[in-house]
Amino acid sequence: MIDNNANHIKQSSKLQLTPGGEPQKHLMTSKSSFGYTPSEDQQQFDLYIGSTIAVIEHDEHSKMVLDKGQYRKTNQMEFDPFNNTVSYIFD
Amino acid sequence: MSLEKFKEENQFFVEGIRVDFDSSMKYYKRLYKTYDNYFDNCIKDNAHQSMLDLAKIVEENWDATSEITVAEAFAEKNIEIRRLYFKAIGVSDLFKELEPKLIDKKVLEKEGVSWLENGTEIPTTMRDEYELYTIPGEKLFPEELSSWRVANATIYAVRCWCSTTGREYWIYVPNNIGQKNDALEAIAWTVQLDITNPEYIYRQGDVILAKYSSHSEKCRPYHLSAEEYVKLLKAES
Repeated sequence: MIDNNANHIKQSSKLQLTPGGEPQKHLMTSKSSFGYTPSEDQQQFDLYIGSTIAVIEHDEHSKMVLDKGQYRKTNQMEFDPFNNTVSYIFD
Repeated sequence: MSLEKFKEENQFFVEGIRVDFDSSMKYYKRLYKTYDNYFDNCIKDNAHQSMLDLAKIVEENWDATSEITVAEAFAEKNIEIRRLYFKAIGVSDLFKELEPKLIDKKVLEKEGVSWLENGTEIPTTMRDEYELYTIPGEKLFPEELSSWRVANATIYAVRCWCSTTGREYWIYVPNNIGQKNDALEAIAWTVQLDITNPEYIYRQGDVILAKYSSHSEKCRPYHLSAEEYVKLLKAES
């Protein structure tokens, strides 16, 4: 369900999806602005794509194209068996 | 201050566990590889002066320190410190060196999509292999006496390969997932969502993108099942 009522949506035509990472990794761009809302920890996002597609590029992976809609960006998770915690994986 | 005096006058803790200075150095060397990486993760520029003093000593001794090895980890009598060492050694090296047991191997082959340079979507057949391995607790911590503690110390990891680069990855999964003896359940567990009824998921490296459907709502985070993973995965790179 597209969250049309969200008034906290930020706008940009360029967003790095892995905060703090290297700029060539998981870089999302579009020819016009798309919306995004970061999670509280600033590590995950909701992404709002309008009529203009957005492209996600990475220096080691093939590109991905997002068409119109709302997306939840997250990361794979890993378990740490030596202290029983779960955390996101960031390459 | 000489290194010996520094060691005498200070206590050293790694993740709350008391260790000697040389052991902490070997741990950090294995975990961070370079001094700069250690500094960025453990000290940072605005640290208290005492931490900056520690960093200076660490820097002076960095090159002369060797990384902790698997053999050294096993020679460590203190279980808590051995656990720290296993963590620093990392899942990939630990499983490569310890001859783990292959529990299950699955091939996932399904139709998906990829994109041409100009952004045009084209149909693609995705093919992934997943392997689930285990190392029994008695191999890692043979001195544990209670059967519950030994079972709890057993570790599981799923091995997979990047579909673009072919690079191998190992990811630890919890025991309750490993005990399902299903490599697909293991890789599915690595994807956690907090929306209901996603239309599909894309995976680029470790980044997951789940598309909301018209029925999606926010929910408590949950890990995917094998069935959900197979059904939802539409593109990967």
